[in-house]
Amino acid sequence: MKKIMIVEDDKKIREELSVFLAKNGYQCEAPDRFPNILEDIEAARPDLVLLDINLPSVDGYYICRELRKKSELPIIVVTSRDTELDELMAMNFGADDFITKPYNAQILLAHISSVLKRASRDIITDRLDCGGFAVNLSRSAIEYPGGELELTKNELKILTLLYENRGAVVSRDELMTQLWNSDMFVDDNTLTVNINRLRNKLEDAGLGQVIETKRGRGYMVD
Amino acid sequence: MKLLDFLKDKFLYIAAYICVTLVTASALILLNPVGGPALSLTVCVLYTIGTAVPLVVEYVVKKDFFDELLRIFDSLDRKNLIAEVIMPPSYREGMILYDIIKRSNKSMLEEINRYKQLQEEYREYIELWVHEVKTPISSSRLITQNNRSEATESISEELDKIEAYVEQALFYSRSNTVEKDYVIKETNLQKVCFDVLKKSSRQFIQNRISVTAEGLDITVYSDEKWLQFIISQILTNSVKYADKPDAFVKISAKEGENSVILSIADNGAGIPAVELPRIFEKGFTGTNGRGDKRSTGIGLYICKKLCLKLGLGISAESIQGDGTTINIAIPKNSMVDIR
Repeated sequence: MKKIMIVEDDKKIREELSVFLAKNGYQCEAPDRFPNILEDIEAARPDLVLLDINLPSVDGYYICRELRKKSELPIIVVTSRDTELDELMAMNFGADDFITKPYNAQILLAHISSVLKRASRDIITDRLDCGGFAVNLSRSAIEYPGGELELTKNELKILTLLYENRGAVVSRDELMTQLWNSDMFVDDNTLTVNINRLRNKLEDAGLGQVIETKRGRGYMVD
Repeated sequence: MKLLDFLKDKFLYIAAYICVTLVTASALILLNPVGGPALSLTVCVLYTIGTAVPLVVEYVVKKDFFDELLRIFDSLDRKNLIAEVIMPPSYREGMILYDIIKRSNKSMLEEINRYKQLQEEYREYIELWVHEVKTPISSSRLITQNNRSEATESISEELDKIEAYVEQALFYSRSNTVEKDYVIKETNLQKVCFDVLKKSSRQFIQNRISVTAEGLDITVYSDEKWLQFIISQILTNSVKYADKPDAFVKISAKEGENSVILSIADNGAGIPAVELPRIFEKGFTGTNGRGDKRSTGIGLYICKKLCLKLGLGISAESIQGDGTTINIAIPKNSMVDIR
């Protein structure tokens, strides 16, 4: 499990962020005092630092620069200042990524996973086990005992989302929001078409009715 | 300065001269001195010369001074700078006025500076406030994310609105100052538009408005953050005034020789032709904005101001009932005309 160090002075954000990241499969550490933050980070050996720039007593940019002097530890700078200059500053001080408050939690997750991916350069789980078959994320295909089935970008995204929330209902709006986050600005009709195509593909492959419709609520897989 | 006006000012002086001359001439004629009428005439001529020469000299000096002053004044862009360029006059009452203008100008500058400073302080406060308020918005967002239900989903929508208003306040305060807190750099138009769409995805998805974006993979030179704000304001309007079941927004770009025209078109309520020229005015709400849709008349006004600062062109086309298209002209090279 990847470990994330949250350097943030607002207590509520610290707590809620820890809960949110823990829910999404990360181990979190969030110190509430910052006088020895550099040592604290070194001692915790995190895989990634989520660094708020506006901290009391210490300057976030200073922390960023000092960390960068010693290691290649991935740093995502979080700030409520949002001008291009702030972004340039953060990058100049060695941050790997930059995200502004208030952020969409899903987008934050996307930033974290892409920075981690870039940093480790190894192929982390690019296969999602779905019981009777597996989704190969890098090749955008379903692998099942009888063969292989290609998926479109949208279909792949929908299927992974459903399996990441296995056993829970995913609403249509949620599915659409996620698709939008990946630059696919689908509307209601397109989503229906995509789901139907996906169902037909799965059925044709002999995998049966995998996606359940929950009337008025959304879709679910078991 | 006209001669006649000058003479009017000197009425008393001239009247006195005429009286004295007449009295002297009468006295000389009555006394009938040795020189006779020739002497009387000589005295009158000497009197006239003695009176007229100082008048003419004074007129010439004053006319020179005031003509020059008026010429300079008319050629000045900022009339209040006259005190800085005015030459000290050579005569007494002119000196007094000169002194007064200088001093009044100085005090006016002090007053202006006081207001400038007040405005600057206020702007700093707004910026600070905006950044402060973003922290509770962030934590509220995380709380709704961690406790998903119908209620928190609905709160999320309200948070979207709060965030939009806060953002507007920030850019409004920025648009009013000469300070340059923007960076013009190479920017991909597609990335800018996609970032805005992702950020505001909820309003499109919930209002069932479909979006198409095409031909946007073009490099332009502008400030990404400001451009994003401008585009998001326009998109918000498209969503607000969508009134058809198959509502859509179409974002496209056309490359010209020196600039790229970014078009954001919708099939919403549209704007009446008589109102179209006024939509970028501050506080203008129009028929659409006064109905059930609440409009502040601020969004497009800020867009226009920011566009002016960034050297972008912005214009609108609309057919009432059919939809609106907003066009933004963005420079394609780094030689941007910035104010």
